[in-house]
Amino acid sequence: MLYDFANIVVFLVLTGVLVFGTLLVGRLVRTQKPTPEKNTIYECGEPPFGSSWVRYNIRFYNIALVFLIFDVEVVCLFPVILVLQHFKLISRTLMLVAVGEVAFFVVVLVIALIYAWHKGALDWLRAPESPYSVEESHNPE
Amino acid sequence: MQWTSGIIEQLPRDLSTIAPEIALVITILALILIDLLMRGEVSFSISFFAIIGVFISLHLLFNAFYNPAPSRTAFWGLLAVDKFTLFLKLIFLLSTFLVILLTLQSNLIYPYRVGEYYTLLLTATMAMCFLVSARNFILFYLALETLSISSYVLATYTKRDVFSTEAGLKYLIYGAAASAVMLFGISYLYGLTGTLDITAWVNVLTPVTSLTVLLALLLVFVGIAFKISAVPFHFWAPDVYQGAPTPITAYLSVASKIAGFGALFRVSLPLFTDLIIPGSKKILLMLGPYHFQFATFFWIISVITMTFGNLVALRQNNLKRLLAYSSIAHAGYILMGMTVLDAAALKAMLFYFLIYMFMNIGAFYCAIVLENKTRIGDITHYKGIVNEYPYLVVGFGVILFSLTGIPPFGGFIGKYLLFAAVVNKALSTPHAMFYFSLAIIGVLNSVISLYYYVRILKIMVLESPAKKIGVPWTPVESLLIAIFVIAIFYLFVLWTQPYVLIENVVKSIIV
Amino acid sequence: MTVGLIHYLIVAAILFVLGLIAIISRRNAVGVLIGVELVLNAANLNFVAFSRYAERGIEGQIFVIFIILLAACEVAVALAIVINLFANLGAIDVDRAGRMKR
Repeated sequence: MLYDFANIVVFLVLTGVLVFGTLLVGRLVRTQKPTPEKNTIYECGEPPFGSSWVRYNIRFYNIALVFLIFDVEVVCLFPVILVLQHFKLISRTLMLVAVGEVAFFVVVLVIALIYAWHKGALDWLRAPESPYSVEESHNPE
Repeated sequence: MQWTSGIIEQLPRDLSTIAPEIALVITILALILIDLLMRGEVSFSISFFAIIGVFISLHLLFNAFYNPAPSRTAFWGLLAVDKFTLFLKLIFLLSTFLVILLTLQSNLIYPYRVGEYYTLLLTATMAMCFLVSARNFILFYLALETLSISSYVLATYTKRDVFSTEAGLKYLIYGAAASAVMLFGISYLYGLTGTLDITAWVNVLTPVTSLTVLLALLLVFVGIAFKISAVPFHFWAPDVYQGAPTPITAYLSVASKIAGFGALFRVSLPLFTDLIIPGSKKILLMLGPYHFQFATFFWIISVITMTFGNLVALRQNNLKRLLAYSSIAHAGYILMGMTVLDAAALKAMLFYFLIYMFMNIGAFYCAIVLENKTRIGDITHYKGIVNEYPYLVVGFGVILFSLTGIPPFGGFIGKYLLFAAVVNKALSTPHAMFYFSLAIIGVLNSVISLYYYVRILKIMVLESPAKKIGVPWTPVESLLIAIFVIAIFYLFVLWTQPYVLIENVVKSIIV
Repeated sequence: MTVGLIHYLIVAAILFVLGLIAIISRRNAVGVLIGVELVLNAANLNFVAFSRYAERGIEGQIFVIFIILLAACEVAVALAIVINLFANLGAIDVDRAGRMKR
């Protein structure tokens, strides 16, 4: 059993040798004459400015949230599909019940999607918020 | 595939046992669709539909109560359908109804985005109903998480308010951590027992494995203790109770907490039953030596929880924060029943839930009214408010004295039953001092709590007002306060009526 | 030596401890959530390992599917709240979110 991992170990070692070996060879062979221009970050000839830790637009996260939910819900369908094969052999009614349950699940998901759509969670350019969605800030001390 | 036989025949009966929950689900979907389809001002009609949904669910619940199902379980042992579960569901639905009434009175939530609000509220209620009837860890965890996630969103509902967002974030982080730790415990229980049955740990509690089982149970208790805000898993409670919109605070402090206790009962049911069921010598022998260990554990948690809650509450000036610590202390009182672990204690705890629901939601209703009038949550600003709003102060006084547990109010009966259970146990076991000390600490704590409850009233009544507030008192406010006050007096004067019901309920799980 | 149940349990236990350390020591909300994910995955690993090696039936694997599902929901809500907090405060430190009276 342990020997099964031997080729993985060899692979890991080879990877390490190749990567660090090339770096080492490059370091030994190349000449080193640093100038301020050479030490700057490579930006296709443009002089670099600002930090690379820019803030992503918050709208990416909003879309990602909606995607995340609907993406993961698919996992729920997986066991049903597996069981359906067995159900088919036992009884047709049973299979229909299972399909009905999944259908209900999907209907609820669709309602949720429509809701998110309608409320503007999928819009890239947000419409100004409706009067019912804006509440004043309260701070009871 | 043995279990698939008879699956179709059982389905209608099984579905009928969860009729109240189905009604809630249909209401939830209907609310979303109404919110989507109707144009213009929909706040009132949505509130109306939510109340209708809760009432239909209550009606189905009463039906189930008076026509008990032939079997104790449904869906192949996944769900318990006994009167005990139905009683807890009754409390959840009633408190949801009261919270909807509070919402309609709260200036913070109503009428902003109420469609989502009621959807989440009813989802949480449905999750609680499933949580207390779960007999399988998958359903248990699923219900607990549904409840938690809905609560997180509800706590952060007033989203432009920094406090509310903070509350939601803290609740979520602590809650996610607690439930993840609980899940790790469940995974060990699964490995030890081989099933996900919620009470299967009894079968493996032998001297060889006891340490592992008890450790796994401790991890499971972390998740539950978080819900009931028992010390040391209470960190979230003060911040969340203060920051969340007040109706949600009421909901979390009552329904969510009682759901936590319901889950605790489900997991620890063998502890209640093993000494009582006649034909179960085997379980008796197995659990016998561990019984006292569990009692000791709950003794420690209970004493720490009530003492901590009461002592810290003494120093609070924010009304909602004070009530948060008071509700931590009440969790400690209820946990006294878990120390006793017999039928009398279970009855006392169920009665305490009933009265606690009216007292605590009532207290938060008064907080909402004060917030609406003054826009301030600090009790030092309520000086002499009795001159302007006498009804409010009288009603609040009744609720606060009831929370203390003073005789002419319902809270007294709740505490009396709990202490009676503890003292009776003390008289009937060799560990008399163990239980007597618990009762004495409980009484001392009640005395401490009197101080901070009365302090609120003292500020409101005895000190002279700084300036007039000038926001008029409305008849609806009188009506709602009257509901809570009447409920509190009813539970004092005619407490035997609900108590007979509770005896019935307890009989359904402990023969 | 073959890889058996005990190895999975050890890995899961290590993951659990690492997750707990992250939950306790991290101040950044997202960091804490990553710790929670570690703990959840430790539990997942336990479930699958028990289900596979200790022959505890298929229930454990079904449970894992539910856990993955619920973890995603929790993270989605968490990110929504964090984004909202960011919009309100301009920071996502748990410590900065401490304006209420202690």
